[in-house]
Amino acid sequence: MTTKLISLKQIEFFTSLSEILPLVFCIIFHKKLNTNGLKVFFIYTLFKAVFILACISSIYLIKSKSLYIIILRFHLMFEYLIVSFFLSLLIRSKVVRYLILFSSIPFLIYCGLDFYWTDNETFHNKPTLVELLFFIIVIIYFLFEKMRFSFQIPVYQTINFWVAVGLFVYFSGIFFYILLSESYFSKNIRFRDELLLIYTSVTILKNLILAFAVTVKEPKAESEDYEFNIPLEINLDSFESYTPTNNLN
Amino acid sequence: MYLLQADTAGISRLMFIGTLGMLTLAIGIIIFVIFHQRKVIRYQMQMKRLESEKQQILLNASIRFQEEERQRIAADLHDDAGPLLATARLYLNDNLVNQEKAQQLQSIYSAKQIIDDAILLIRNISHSLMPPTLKNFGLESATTDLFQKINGSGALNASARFHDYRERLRVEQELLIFRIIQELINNIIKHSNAGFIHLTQNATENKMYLRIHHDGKGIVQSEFDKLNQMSQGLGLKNIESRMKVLKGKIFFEIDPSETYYKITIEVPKEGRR
Repeated sequence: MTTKLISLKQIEFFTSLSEILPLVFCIIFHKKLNTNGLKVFFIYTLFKAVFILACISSIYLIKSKSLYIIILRFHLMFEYLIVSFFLSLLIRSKVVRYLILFSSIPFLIYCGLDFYWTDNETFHNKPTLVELLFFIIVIIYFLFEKMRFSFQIPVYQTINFWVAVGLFVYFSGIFFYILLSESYFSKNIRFRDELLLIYTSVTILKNLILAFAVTVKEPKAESEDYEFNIPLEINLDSFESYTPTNNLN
Repeated sequence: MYLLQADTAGISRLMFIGTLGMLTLAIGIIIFVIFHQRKVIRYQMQMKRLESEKQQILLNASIRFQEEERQRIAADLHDDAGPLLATARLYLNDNLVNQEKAQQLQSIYSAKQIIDDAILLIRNISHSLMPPTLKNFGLESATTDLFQKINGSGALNASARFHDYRERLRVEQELLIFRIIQELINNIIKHSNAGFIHLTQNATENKMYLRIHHDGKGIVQSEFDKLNQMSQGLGLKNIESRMKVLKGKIFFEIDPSETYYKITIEVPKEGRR
């Protein structure tokens, strides 16, 4: 049992370290991060690395559970802000883009109220569930847009697509973990280990996908043909004689 | 409620099934998007390949047209101008000085007439290559002239209205547009059995538009594209290749009232240098 617990702790530790992997790849392939979306993604990886360092410090160095919960709460708010900004940059539809951006305001208010109402000793999953559901829907919409409008470059040859895939797999994979974590996380050690196993596998998978995303070589898109649009003021159906002063009638 | 009543094993199963379900759903959606897009891209590549094949046909048609034009000019020169000049040379042979004065005058007069005919013939050939009205007075005059000639034949009612052509295009552009108009008009006269043909022109700051209306049996864009794919129909291919040179567009349609057909041409303006 002790051996198993140690190995799980090791897995947890390595999972935490794997959060740094996308940042390392972002630094190596920094020349590829030339769009606003990818710059935001770089900030996300940086934020994740800082978060993991903060978590490790709170658990192993300071050994304060309440500090760990507070870090989780702040992490949730900042993650929402960064990911929603990143996804808004990928979405084509203006309405949806603004909807994603402005959704941060009610979400932050909700997180703030949750922070105020609940204690810092146990993990409260509701704000995280809201975040996960929202991002799963947004990423599905993003994929739908890719399916409808993106025909020049195969989607799997773009960094943005793989970043979205990584986030999608992660948010979907940890959904049930978060859903069940509040009630059962601390009550049953065996169950907790199983939860942790799912969480670590999904997190490592996400980090591998995000790291791989940065290595994708994007082909250049060809410019599209211009459309045949006759201006409305141009009259081509009138047979009236030409008069220089009234040349458009 | 189930969560409250279930034991740890049940919850654990629920969590595993739930997570697996969510992951399967996510991966399923991703795979579907990738495969759907691949299918669309493959279709587009096929369309591009067809387009390049079409370009090849157009290029071949254009080369063939040039060769035919050269052969026609060569035939005109060889069959008409050659014998005329040879006959003139016969009249003006070395023996002319030894002939009587009356006969000399007769020979010179005949030779002069033959040379006049040859000049006229060469002028006609030259005019067919580059109409002088077009060169000297521009597209508006050449087109109006063409329509007046058609109207004068009495076979059908033809008119051309230029609304905004104060600034002439480059001569090469004007010639290409004029050839397109000629080809379209020829096709309408030959195949459509139209009662009228009207041409209107208008322009914006950087584009010129021409529209031909006729009440005969015309074609719509899909038919034009289809005819262009076929090996026959040199005229339409010439129109297409000329449009490509002009970097313009052509659109064939039927009026919503279905009483007449419209052919609209859009050409980017290039002023005279």
